[in-house]
Amino acid sequence: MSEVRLTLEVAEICQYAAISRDELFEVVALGIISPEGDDDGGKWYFEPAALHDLQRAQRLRHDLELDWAGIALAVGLLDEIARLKTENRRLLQRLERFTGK
Amino acid sequence: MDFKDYYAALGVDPSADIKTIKTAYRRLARKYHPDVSTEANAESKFKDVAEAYEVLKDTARRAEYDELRKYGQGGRFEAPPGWQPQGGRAGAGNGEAGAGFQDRDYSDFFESVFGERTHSGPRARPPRRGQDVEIEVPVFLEETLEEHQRTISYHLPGTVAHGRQGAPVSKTLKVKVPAGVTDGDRIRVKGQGPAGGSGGANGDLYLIIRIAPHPLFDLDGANLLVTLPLAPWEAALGAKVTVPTLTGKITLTVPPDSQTGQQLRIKGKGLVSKQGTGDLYALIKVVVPQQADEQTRELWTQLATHCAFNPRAEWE
Repeated sequence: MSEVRLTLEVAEICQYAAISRDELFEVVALGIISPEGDDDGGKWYFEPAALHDLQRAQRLRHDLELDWAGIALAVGLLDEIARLKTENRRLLQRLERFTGK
Repeated sequence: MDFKDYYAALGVDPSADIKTIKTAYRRLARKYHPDVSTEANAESKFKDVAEAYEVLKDTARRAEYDELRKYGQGGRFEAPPGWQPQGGRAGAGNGEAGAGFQDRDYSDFFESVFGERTHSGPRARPPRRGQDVEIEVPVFLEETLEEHQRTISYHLPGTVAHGRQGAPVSKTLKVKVPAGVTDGDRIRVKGQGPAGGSGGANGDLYLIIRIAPHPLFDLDGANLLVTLPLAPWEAALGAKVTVPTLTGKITLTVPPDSQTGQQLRIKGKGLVSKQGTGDLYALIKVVVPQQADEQTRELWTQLATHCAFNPRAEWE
């Protein structure tokens, strides 16, 4: 059986996303991704979704030529939009089911 | 190959200064970036915009490009014989950070003018970690209640040998899907992605959970919702009804004087999550029987006369 749902350590996420530890701390401080584990940065670990979010943030930063603070805002808004779209879709589905369309 | 009009791609005049070019790029990048855009064909439009900017933002490359424009616009392009590119190389491994930037997909035109030229055969490259691969895994709502095993089949791109892409490799894998997964969850399976370049480590495989819509239930966080149709007398008098759940049928007691829109809570019959198990809510919907016969109409009329009930009292 293969290992599943492995979280990533600080060293791993830095390697996979090709960023320095300092830059990782900045990204976390801005709230772009959030680690689990203790606050001291030594015992952090990240869910797989965090790597995906970080890579998206990097693409945006490079392609849109924004600084990390701008990216933090952009990513926060993108996530909120995605959440609202899902909620909207679900509410419409509930409504359709209830009214029997 | 076709000549690429980079000035047109950015919507700027060929004499535009660098500031104008930067602004034009930023405006268009924001509009067409695949991670952000809702426009049709965003990805291909972004590719054109990014490539144009890659050339025009660099003084040396822009100068080279302007030279070439004299030779052939709006049609087929052939580099003049003996022409050697002078300016900066694209994707030259200049330490630019982030996975994937140096692997950007440029047009044939770009590659022929600005691409890397290996004059002395293939260079030794440092080992690179393989790409990560994502596959979607459809899961039924019922399956999320417990951890379960799954066999996944997928393809990895074939290895590149002597400069040629090999046939895709078919793989199967047994994975454990934990309980309580939701739509969009990512499960990382380390080292099951394609091999890295030059002997680098394997990339990872990511399973993206897709929950199939259920024919009966709607989701609301960890709770489930089901519409419960009732006859008018069932709502008025109360009733015992059979209700489906994810784990089989149960009997529910509907209290008398129930209304459309009321929710009856069935504890513990929702979805599993970190906070425990959610509930199932039965949403009452009173339904009137159609095509009543003469006798039924009689009965309804008696009821109407007797009850003297005005549901629209608020409007008066």
